[in-house]
Amino acid sequence: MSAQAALSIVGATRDYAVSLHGERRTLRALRGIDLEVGHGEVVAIVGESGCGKTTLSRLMLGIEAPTSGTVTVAGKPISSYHRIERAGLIQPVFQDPYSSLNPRQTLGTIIAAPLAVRGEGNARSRQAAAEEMMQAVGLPPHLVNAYPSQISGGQRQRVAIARALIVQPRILICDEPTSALDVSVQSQIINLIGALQKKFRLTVLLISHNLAVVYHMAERVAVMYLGMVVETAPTEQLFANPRHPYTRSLLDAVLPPTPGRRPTWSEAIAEPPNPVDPPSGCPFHPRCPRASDICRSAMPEPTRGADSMFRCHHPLESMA
Amino acid sequence: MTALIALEDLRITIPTAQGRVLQPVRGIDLSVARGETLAIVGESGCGKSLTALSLMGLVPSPGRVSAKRLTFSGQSLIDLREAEWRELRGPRLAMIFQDPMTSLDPCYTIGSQMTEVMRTHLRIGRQEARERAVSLLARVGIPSPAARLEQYPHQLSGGLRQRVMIAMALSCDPDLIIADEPTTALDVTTQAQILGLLARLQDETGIGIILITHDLGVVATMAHRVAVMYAGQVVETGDTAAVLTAPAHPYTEGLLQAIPTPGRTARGALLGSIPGIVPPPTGAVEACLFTERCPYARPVCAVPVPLVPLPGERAMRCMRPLDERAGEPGYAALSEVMS
Repeated sequence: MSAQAALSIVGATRDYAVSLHGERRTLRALRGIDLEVGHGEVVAIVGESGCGKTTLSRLMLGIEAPTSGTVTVAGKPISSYHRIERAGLIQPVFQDPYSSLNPRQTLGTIIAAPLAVRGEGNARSRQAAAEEMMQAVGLPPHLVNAYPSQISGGQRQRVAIARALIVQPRILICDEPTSALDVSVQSQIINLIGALQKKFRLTVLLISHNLAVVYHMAERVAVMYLGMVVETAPTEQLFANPRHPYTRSLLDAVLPPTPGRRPTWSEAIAEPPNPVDPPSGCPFHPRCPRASDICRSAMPEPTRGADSMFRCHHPLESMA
Repeated sequence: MTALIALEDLRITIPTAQGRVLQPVRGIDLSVARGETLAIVGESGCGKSLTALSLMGLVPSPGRVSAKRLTFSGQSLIDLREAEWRELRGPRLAMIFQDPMTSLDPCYTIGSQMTEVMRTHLRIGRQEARERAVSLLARVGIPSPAARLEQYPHQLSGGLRQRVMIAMALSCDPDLIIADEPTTALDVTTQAQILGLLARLQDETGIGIILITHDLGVVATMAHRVAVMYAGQVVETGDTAAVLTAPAHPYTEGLLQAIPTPGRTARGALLGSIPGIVPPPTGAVEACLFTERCPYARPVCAVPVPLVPLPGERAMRCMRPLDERAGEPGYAALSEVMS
């Protein structure tokens, strides 16, 4: 682990006990994650539902502890921080600003809540800080006494961002920050997160299934499949020259708003496997056009490049 | 080509308890031909879903539908009685909803839900309906279809549930399918599979499809023609390729600039954004409804705007033609001001 990492995850696994048809089973949501995020870096985590993206974000927020492995923030294990100290370092922005804001609190109270929890200042100074933060995220300060129901979806997401940033955290974890919003509003939130990231030199973890948004915002992408990172690379490189067949199929599924391109559809069913009953060997082999015998029996070891990694027995060709 | 469905000046009004009248749909003209896919695209609250429901006679009470013309295969759908709607819904017109979990009944097996529809409308026996259900599931690409009939909706993944919905929609050989955000709840990889399936079924059957979506990527891949809706009106319509490559209405232009597109928008650059919010669906239309959010708005826009035909079977609802707006600062200027 390098000293300058803002966030470092080593060998993290997370198991849940589940019951399948009355039988006790283990659901292995994360199966050994290694991920290092530098200060001020914007890293995207992509993958289908159920791949463990959100479990990983809960580990990074310290809401849950890994079953094994470590999560380190600013050089210390995340479990060694006090809850309040941790919240000052790392803050979330959730997907749905309709359910993540308390409908009975005013925007000022919501945004200043982290300060109140920390016992910083008095009611008046917290209100002033909230108004300043509202300005920074493009909310008119006169809304400070308004309730979430009185503002639009885009404004609510601005409130969520203001609340996250008021304690000046170093790391922001954005879990699908735009997918509940309309297209015209999405772009405002994307612009806003980009501007704030530069202004406050924030480290941003962007969890998303929208690869166009990821391409636009992230410097580096980690592709997850069934609880593992199967490929990571700088964004341009990953989009231009994916090595893992799963990354390729995700990129092929992107539908750009430009006419004339009917994607190469394979309409055959190819759905993610059940994490309670994962396939042997490489978890992607049941869906993989390149799968061979070794893929069915052995998990591929990571192949590392200068700043990239993939796990595949039969990778796509490198064009570099 | 004769229109499968044609509507002129469709309006939907909803009286509220406070004595106001909401007008979520304020005068829409559309038509869909056999074998054609028309996409209706717009943001939340633009009236696209209510428009779709009105074609199925499903606008919830106390909403009221009126139109100069609303015909399906030449038959007027205005003021049909419920019994007459039931003759159409299922056998002639079918609908696929966004969330297949809430549109399938969790208490009944896939088989019983599928056969109920066919036994009611096609008046066939239990055994025949079951055989048809098996072949329908096979046709939408579901493996071991006979076994699936015994399963309950919760035992299927989202993609499989949506395939079941499509199989049910096809079960009585309808002429038109209305698909309301059919892939919005699905993963991108599953979305591609479902869209591919719909396209293939259309090629095989010549069915007409009305695709309701907010996703211009889905429009680009699926639709022959597109109607862009804003605040209860169609603001632009035409051939999909033409509209998406050279949008004529400022709103369409704004939507396209707001979408990050690898290869077209620069990474990390400011995206265009449309300031402000949609006007409330109340009161008479006295000006262009988009004027408050439009970078090209001028005093001339303070009148109700008609849908003006353009060359190439296109039309748009804007007082300022494209060549007149050319060179004026557009959305880019606005988004710089905002950030």
